[in-house]
Amino acid sequence: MLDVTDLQIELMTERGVVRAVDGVSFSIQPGETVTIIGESGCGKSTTAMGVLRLLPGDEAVVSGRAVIDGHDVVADPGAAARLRGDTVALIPQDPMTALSPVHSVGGQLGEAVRLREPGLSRRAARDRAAELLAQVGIPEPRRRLRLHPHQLSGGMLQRVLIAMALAGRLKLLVADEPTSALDVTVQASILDLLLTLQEETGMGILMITHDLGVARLVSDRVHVMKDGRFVESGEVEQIVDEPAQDYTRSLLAAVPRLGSWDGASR
Amino acid sequence: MSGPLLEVRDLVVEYATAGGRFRAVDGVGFSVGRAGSLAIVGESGCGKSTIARALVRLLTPTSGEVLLDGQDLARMPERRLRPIRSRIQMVFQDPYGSLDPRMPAVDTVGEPLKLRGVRSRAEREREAARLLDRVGLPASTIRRRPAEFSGGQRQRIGIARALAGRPEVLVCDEATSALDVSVQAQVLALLNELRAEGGLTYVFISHNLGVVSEVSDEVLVMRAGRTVEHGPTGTVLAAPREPYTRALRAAALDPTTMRGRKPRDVLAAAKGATS
Amino acid sequence: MTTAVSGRPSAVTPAHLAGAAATRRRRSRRLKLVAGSICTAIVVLPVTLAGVLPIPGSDEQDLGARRLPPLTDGHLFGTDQLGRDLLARVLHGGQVSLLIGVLAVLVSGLVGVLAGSAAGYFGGWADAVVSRLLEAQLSLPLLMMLLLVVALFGASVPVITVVIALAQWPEVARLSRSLVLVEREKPYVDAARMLGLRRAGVLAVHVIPNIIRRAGLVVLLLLAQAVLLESALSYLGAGPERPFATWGRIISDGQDYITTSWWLVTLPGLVIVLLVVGVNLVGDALYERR
Repeated sequence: MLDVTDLQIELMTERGVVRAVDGVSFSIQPGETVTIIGESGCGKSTTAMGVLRLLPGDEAVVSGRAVIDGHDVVADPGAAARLRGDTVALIPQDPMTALSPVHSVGGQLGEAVRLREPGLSRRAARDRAAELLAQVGIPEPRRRLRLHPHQLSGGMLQRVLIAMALAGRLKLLVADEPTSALDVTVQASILDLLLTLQEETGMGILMITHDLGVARLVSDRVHVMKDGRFVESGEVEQIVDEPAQDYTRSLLAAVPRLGSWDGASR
Repeated sequence: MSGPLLEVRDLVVEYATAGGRFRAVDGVGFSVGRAGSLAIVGESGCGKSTIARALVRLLTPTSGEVLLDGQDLARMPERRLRPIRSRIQMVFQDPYGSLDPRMPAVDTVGEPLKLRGVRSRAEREREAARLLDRVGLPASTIRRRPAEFSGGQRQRIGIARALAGRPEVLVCDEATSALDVSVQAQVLALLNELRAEGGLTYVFISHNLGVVSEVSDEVLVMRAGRTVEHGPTGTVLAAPREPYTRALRAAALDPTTMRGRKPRDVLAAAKGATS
Repeated sequence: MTTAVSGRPSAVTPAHLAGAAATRRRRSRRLKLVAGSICTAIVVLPVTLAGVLPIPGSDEQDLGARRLPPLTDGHLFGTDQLGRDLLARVLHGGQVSLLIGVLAVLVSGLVGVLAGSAAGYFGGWADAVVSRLLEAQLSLPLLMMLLLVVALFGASVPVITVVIALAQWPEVARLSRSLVLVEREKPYVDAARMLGLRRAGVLAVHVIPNIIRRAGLVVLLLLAQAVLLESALSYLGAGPERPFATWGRIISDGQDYITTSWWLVTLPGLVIVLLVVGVNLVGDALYERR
């Protein structure tokens, strides 16, 4: 689904060239969730943006290979543009600013639908939009279509963005800290939605997060990133239970301990 | 003087909004003894930060009392309040916005010293340097401006500034939530050390139960401006009584103790807790 | 983030760097700064050194050499209708024009920053008073007002300075007010209040120092406008009294001959344009560097 080899991303800043991503390789199979975890500035978001070719060409130089669905998007940035919004989609960190505040949710979702199926009538697009909202677990979808982003909570907006991603024939979803702007009680439901949709559609998920708890919950495989490189990679259980690298151990040790508690057993 | 150092009684804070008056804090009360540590926990919009701002009188409560050593600060006029403001200080959430971008660290920390009446500049700088050293900032960096420090270092400067007034109560309003976990762990360790050596009293505002478990003796759980549950930290986290607290507890992810769980299980546990 | 330390070769080519946004920004900024400084210096240096340059006096008439075109008989800018060297008149006149401009922006900057900051920070009646004054100034026909003041108090250098400052302080005040409105919501302002600083103290120690650079840039741009305004007043006959040969008066005196002697109007006009463009470019470059 996604096959990244020796990806290197250099940012051209006023203070010179900075190597934000220094030769990382990973792959995602259909139906699989792969997580890149690391602290701020480690290059995890830059990796995601680089794979999607969303970094401006006059600011970042991407090299190496990143093959999405058979197309090398490093060699052919145009391919990335065609894939985005059809088979590849991004869920951003902050749902509040990702939607236009002056247009209704239905208008924006309908537009996303018609972009993928240009022949569709306005009415049919609206029906499809309502269907998508229902699919992401928003109750009363027809009524919500008329609302504007500021009338919805952060968790709802994140669901709308996921619905937008579903408008195409989604094969790869890139989620950049999708829950870090949300309350903890909402976080689990959004993660659950993503995994449910993954079961339904068989899409691959590239998850970017700084939260080991989130990584533990959703990932099949994890890459621990530091200073632009992967310091440790492997199955999520192995990384959390038997970390091989000091850096991973220090990250785990820094997470405040809550102790065990199992709500269900009470 | 006996009795708690800080006591809050029936605190109410209302805001005027377009749709009428909104009650952000609705009759919250608690008390903290000297060298005690209380955490106020809740999700965004529950009113916890409003309480923090009311404690340091960045806003004036609508009603209720904030008793510091028996003296009510809640509605005290600014003129009388100013000399005793230094007794209760706050560490802010935002490490980027809470320091004057133009001021070198040593001056930022020196400012409360000036207000405390330390006249000589040399003496202020010496004391500021000592405080910055205490919070772990290298002496070679103290003349730098905020932009040259990392988020964690800025938070340390903010703590040093709060300490400079020799406060008895330190309010930490999400003081570590903008930091990376490894930096957060260092800052929490520092706060615990300061409490152990200086007898500081803490009020911790946080949405993170893990953080709360590391720093507080007592927890107060808030929802929609009201107290949901209040008790010793160990008890509340290990055996929450109220459904909302259980939902919060279930949703808090501790990577080391969640063997084999999926989001669905977390969700089910949270739902089971609320229903 | 890390700079390249591994053995992996960089994929950044010189062509990438040349086209990089960062490079472009730096190049455009430098270009503006250099071009602006040169334009400004071409005008300001000769004007300040007018006294020591080897040029004829600005009031030396030579009725035998009236309205000579530029570059004749050692008159770089030619001569005017009374045979006076135009270059000398422009340079000496510039001293008065620039002096008035600098004084005016200093006054308007000071008043504007103080009034605007107070309005933005304290709100309430302070804001009400300042805002009403700003609106009043907007609703009056500015040039008419200025002419009236000059007519009432006479056209001396201090009066003209005050008049121009009167015209310009609202711009600085409006900007300062909006900058302070943003700044006062930042947590460091709360922190200062929490420490026990008085409100005026917070404004003076923390807020104003953080807006002064941005407000100062606008003041710099106003310098160009002040020179223009002074020229406009002089052109309308309300400038400093003769013998001060300000730029506006030179142009005003020369306009009768515009059909036969183009340089009398054009050359002083070009000098003003050069200064205004130069100052604006420098201001732009400094603004982008923030």
